[in-house]
Amino acid sequence: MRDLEKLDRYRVEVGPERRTEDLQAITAALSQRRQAPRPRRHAIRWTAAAVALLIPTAALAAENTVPGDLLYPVKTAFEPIRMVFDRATAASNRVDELEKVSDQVDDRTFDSRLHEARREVDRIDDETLRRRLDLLETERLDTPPRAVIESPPDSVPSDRPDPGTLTTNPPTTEPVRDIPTETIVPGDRVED
Amino acid sequence: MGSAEGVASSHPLDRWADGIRAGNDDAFAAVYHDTVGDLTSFAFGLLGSRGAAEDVVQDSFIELVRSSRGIRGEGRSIRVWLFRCVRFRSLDELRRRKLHAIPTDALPEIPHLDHQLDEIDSGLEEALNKLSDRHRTLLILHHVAGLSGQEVAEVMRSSRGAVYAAIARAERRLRQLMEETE
Repeated sequence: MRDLEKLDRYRVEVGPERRTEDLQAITAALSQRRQAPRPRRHAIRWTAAAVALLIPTAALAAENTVPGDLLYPVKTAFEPIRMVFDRATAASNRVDELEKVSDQVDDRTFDSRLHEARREVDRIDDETLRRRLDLLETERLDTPPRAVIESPPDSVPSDRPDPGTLTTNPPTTEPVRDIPTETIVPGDRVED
Repeated sequence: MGSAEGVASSHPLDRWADGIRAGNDDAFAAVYHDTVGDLTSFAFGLLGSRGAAEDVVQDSFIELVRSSRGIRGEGRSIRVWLFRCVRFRSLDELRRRKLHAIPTDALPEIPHLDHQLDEIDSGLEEALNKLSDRHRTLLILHHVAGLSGQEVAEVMRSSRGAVYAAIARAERRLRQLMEETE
């Protein structure tokens, strides 16, 4: 134990000059603290409350979105959290989404979404959802390939109708004479 | 070096706890005078330089001024908070020194400016330096700053039993190292 008594030599006393210097520094810091504005606790609480309200609202608003919608990333971001409680939700969502967009997307996108939906459905092994996907796929196969309108060309020949106003009528080189009135877009001129 | 062991229900600094939270000058002065010796000794034991130790302690009090609104508990908690602050600041200082270390053979021989170090047994200093940071901290808190086992446990955020066992191991190791250096 005598060896350890040597540790006493590390014991130091702080002199009066240093004490005065330290106390001056502390007093200066205290007066700075008094002048500094107190943290706005109310503002912090209100911000926290707003954020707490905003998050579930955004999640709720994103509930019925489909790929391409503004809030769709919010929906997919929340899904891992929700999946902890309910894995079936993700699978059901994928099938619902595919049903909504199946007639609006090209074959490649459809296949990709179908693959994703099947993977989710296989995870929970739900026969009903699987049948809905089968039905969607069959309908798709039975439907003739869609003419997907690409972005309009830079210049449209003057003797052809504007691609933006295309209806279900197939494009033709002949002038269209009998255009059903319900397909006429306001502002269009029908030539005789 | 009073090592009052029991977890006393009242602490000499208790009466200043509210004043510290409110930023009262007298409260800070009282806590400073009560703890500055122990804190500086602790920092000096870790850093081996009196000037650096005093700077670390001053910085810790400034930090206390900034953070005291959020410190909970009574006087004992404030004392433990200060020791923890000095500990982390000292470890930061040691890390900084290691980062900016210049090879000693590249430096000219200069006389030792810290007279206090001259009084310290070189064998003890060498043995202490060979200890791990944790063992050195434990020994200095207990034997130099005079903290009780319970207080050391609070500063190190460890259980009292684990701290006692670690202090015993650190003491054995220090003796062994001092024998080797003699």
